[in-house]
Amino acid sequence: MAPSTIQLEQKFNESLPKITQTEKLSAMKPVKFDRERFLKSAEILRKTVKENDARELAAS
Amino acid sequence: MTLANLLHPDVLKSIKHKTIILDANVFMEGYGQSSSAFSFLLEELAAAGCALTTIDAVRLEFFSKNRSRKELQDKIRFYDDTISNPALVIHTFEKEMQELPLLFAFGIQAQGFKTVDFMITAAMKKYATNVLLLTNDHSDFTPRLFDLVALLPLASGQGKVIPFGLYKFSEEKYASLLSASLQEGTRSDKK
Repeated sequence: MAPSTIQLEQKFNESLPKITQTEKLSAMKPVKFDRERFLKSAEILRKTVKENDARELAAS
Repeated sequence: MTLANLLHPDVLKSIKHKTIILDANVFMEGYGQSSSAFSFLLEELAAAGCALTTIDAVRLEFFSKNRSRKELQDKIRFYDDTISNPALVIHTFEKEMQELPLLFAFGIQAQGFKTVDFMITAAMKKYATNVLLLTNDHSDFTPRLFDLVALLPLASGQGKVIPFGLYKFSEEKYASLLSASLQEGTRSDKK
């Protein structure tokens, strides 16, 4: 039996990193910015976007 | 490389412990060719005790276009590594979003109209004394309603310079825009 839309949505959500939100500005406490981590995830995203650009270009 | 010359000591003093809302273009440019310059800027802002955050409408805009699930996954990780605090949810500044005078003032000074930019403005108005906006959209956050606290030219690895601005919502400019429009209305009402 094919999975239901709800099951597919659930599976899709589970495959993504979790995102948090807040309701209070006063609850915001600055934490140390991790430069190395930022640069690493920027590089990974840049690479993925480039690959998708290339794939899109090849398909057109 | 450091950004000692980018953030002037006077600017650092005036932004200390403020909350900084990042516009969607910050996230877009942040993983591009300027990511190294960006990393120093964000590091310096965090070192000044600033909380780096955004509003959830910006998050939605940044996450909205993807060619693969991996692209979305990588965006979420990058987003998470960029902000130091979770995004503000819309209903915390819902009252300001319903204010027609604010919508009028925003619309009169912006070159175009983007709902997300108005939402940012509503959040900035609500938390006017504590919140700044980091953006490179200078045509929709103009000096008619916002104060430019600092202009931050970020160099990319390819010799391109992207001028980012730190903006503050100005209560005085807001009042003056409304007052001018009311006087105009009185004049035309008399005609």
